[in-house]
Amino acid sequence: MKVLVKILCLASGILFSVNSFAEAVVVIVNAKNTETLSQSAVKAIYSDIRYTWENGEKIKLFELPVKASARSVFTNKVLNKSAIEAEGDWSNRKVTNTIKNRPKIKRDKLVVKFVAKSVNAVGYVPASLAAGNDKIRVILTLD
Amino acid sequence: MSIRKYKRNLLCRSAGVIALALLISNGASASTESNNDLQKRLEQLEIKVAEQNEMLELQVEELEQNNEDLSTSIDHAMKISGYVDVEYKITDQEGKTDGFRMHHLSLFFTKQVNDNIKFFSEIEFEDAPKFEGADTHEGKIFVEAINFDYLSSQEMNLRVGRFFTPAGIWSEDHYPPFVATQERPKHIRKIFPQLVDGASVYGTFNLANAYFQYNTFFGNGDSKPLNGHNDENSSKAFGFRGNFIFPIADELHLGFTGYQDSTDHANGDADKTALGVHAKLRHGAMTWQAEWANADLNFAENSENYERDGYYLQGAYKVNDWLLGGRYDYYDSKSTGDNDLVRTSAFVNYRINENLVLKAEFHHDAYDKTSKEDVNFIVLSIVGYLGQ
Repeated sequence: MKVLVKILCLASGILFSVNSFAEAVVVIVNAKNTETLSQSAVKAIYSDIRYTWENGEKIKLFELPVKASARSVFTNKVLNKSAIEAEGDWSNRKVTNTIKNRPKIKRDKLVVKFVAKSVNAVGYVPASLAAGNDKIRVILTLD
Repeated sequence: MSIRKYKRNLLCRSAGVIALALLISNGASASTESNNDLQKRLEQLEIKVAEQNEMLELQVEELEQNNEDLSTSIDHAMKISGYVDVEYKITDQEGKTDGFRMHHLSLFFTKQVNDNIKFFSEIEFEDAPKFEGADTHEGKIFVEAINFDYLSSQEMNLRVGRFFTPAGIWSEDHYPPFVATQERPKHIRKIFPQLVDGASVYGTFNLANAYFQYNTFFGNGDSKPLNGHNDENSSKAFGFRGNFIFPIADELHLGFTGYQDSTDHANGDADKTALGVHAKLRHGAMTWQAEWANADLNFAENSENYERDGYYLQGAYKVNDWLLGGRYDYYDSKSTGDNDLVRTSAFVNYRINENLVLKAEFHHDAYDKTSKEDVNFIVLSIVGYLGQ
């Protein structure tokens, strides 16, 4: 019985540690982009419902690999879905030919670079990667 | 060599050169060379470092350009993906036996021609067909989609070719890796046609916090057998689907579809008018989905007019990688007959990863108005998405 309790404590410890140590994630746009985006607008963009900025320019969308922990934080907080479900939604849009704005999947450091370079880009990364970069602007913080 | 390594090498070399210059400079007092000579050499070295820096910047720019070209080339390359599903069916229907079914192997060929034009096609191999000599052929090879899109703006885009009828939810969102059951609700494809050979205009409008998606289409209309060669008659079919997305719970979709074909070749050249409504609500782990549709078929004087009706309500609950749920499904193929069917279903899905899912589903078919025996069957399946 004691062994079982220990195992349960260990398992729950691991589970909670994963959540508690997850770093905050920030949604970033290019510093020259002055548009404000609410969380529901970000959700619409990452649900492929909205795919242009207010000026009509197409949004350049960046996603992280499905196994990136920041992607789990993002999809859980913004879409209320797991990263696997969110990836499944993109695949579904591809096969049903209803996809409007195919995202580019890049590693987090590259997402920062691409967003810093393109005025129409939007992405999300761990907060530490965005800190102190004056070429990008944080529009939403997901703790 | 990566840009980072190249930069590091050049920095090391530059630092080495400068350090050497400084050493020479420090030792200058002890040497016989004049300070002027040393100053000249230092200036020459600085010029060399500046030249090398310029070269490096050029090379970095060239590499970035190459990367962009490669990325564009990959984006515009023909892409192949697909899905596959294998089933085992257990049934108590008289005259049928339990067994495996190689249900689908579907291949998608897509190409982003340029920023505005994309091509999409799907070729489906159903029941693993074999064609050899004059043998009788089982299964089918079917070009389910072949179309071009001109993407103009969020509000208006154009599609031309063969595509799934934009009607309700399941007509488009039906692919096995992404739906809960292998069996589709009974009225799907029987009230609105499966496919349109024609053109559509579609888009999305922002409405404060909500969105409105529309798709209006016209085409040859349904035909039997399906004919991609020409129209069976001069009349064209028209349709419209509207879908509102509200920020209620996690997501609420409410929509409607209308369809009209004055000479429906697949249904005895009837004048067919079909209407449907659909709703989908996602709240946390729970998703509700429902569709209702009705077709009014009016024939020439000697034939009896009738209606077709169908609806379903499906609930699904997600627990980690598991999806559990049920569906109540009704279909009446002919209002003047007694062939109403009620199907109740229960299902479990286990998602192994984003591309692979195991499904178990149970269906009970009841024919209340006839002496036809009820049927129970179970479908066990493994379904894979073959794309990225």
